[in-house]
Amino acid sequence: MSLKGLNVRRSIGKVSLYFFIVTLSILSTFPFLWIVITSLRPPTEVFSEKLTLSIELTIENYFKLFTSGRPVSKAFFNSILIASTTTFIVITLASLSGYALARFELKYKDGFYFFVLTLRIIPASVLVVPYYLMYKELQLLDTIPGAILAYTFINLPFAIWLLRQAFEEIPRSYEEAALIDGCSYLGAFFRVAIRLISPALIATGIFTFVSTWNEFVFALILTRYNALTYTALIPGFFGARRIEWDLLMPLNTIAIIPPLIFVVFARRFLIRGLTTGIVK
Amino acid sequence: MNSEKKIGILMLIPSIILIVFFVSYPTVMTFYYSLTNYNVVKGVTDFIGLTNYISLITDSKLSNSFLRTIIFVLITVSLSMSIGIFMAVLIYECQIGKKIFTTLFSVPLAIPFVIIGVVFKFMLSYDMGIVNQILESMGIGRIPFYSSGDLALLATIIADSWWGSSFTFLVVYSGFESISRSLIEAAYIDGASTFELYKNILLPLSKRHVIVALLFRIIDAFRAFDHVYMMTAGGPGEATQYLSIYVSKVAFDYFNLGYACALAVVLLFAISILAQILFKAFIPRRTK
Repeated sequence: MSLKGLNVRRSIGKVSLYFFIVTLSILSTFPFLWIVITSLRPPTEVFSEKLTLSIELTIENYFKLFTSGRPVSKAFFNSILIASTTTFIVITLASLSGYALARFELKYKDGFYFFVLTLRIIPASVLVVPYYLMYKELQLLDTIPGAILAYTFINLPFAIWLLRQAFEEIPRSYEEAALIDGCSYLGAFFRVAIRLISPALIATGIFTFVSTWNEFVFALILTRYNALTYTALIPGFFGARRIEWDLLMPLNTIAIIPPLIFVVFARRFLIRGLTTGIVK
Repeated sequence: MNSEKKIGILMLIPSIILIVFFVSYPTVMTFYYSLTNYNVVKGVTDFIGLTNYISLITDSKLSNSFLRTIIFVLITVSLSMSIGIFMAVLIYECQIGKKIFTTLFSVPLAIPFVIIGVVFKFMLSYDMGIVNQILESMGIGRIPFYSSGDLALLATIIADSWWGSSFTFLVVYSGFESISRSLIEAAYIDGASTFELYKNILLPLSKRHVIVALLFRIIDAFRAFDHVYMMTAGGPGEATQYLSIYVSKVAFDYFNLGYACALAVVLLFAISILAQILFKAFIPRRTK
């Protein structure tokens, strides 16, 4: 083939490459954009049955959402409170356990990954049945401590797994130096090891916060009013006759903010956490 | 026992107490209630032995639900794996705006599943949905996604693969990135075509990443709940009543908690077998 022919073929390849990239970018982002755009459209256009493309934007729906008489702000603060307390407890327990698993010779270490993954396979809707029964008996239904406990349990194993890897990646010699300098084991842990893994600690924290924030099934079944979380509000907008899309979309837009921040900042870390242990 | 080991165990104790309590207490309770006809609405708790387990065998809703789950998992996993790998190839070949496109491709991961359900229900709805509005203006006509069983199945697959493709893309692409560029350049100099490059070098060398993506795709498709619940709630009829949906219906729509517990016991048992198989197949033995 002549050089010119090859170039022509290459540029056709390039054009189709970018055609696919742009098309898939639109498909990947459109549902997200559509939530945000719909939340800003006037209600008449939200419910329009014809394709209407106007640039009229308004924050009317947001006003209506917060004045609709639904416990939106209460649920919002419940979610913040539950997610941040859960994150704090998970990070504390997981860093202690992750360190112990990484540094001390203990039995059943390898069984742990199996446990973490098995727990992940169980559908939340299956897991929630026993929790509903247990919470009913312990009178923890619709309480904030109950929600925090459940989310701590759900998130803890994976957090331990992530932090154990982070601890394993720092060389032992750092802490050994601290031990020689007269530090206790716990001192070596608090003063040296924790500081060295702080990026992983932050990422695990964000991950725990977001997965608690996003969680739906447990929130739906275990909370009702007092501990109602933000995602558990959503089914309330699905009436028997009418779905309140105009209120749902501002609700959704607000709900997406924390996970969106997470994907921008902690994505790489999470992918590494998933692949190490299997990929090595 | 030396002091080092003691400290190690001490550091583990809080987590162990929490995990053991939250695993054993519900397990025992579930097993106990699975032997009763516990129903919150009817207010009964009689010991009925293995009756629940026997009814499971002849439960046609359960076998239909199982079949529907298999169809859903097979299609959504293969679809999202192929699109995701294709996306990874596109970004790997991309020279302009690589970072921007990577971010755009990972947007689906930022959306909670319950909201994925809401937005796809909205976009695919017959009258107000943008997809049908566009299809109509193109002269194709509207598709009633939620009134036919197979179309509803398709709708849940579309929503699930939308997220899944993005997930596969990120995992596989991070595999491509871990392969040294000089290896690729050497292959090019030796005259390898783009197709050969992927078939013989990039995909085999990131095999582990592909496997991780596949493992998690199977797991996540199997446990899919939030988006399916919001989009179809299992309907129409039983068309999208996957196992995860069926259990919640038995427990919280019919309040048949005794039966739901028996179902949960069997599913947990099946899942731990499935987990064994998946891990044996996917996770290489550690060499020490």
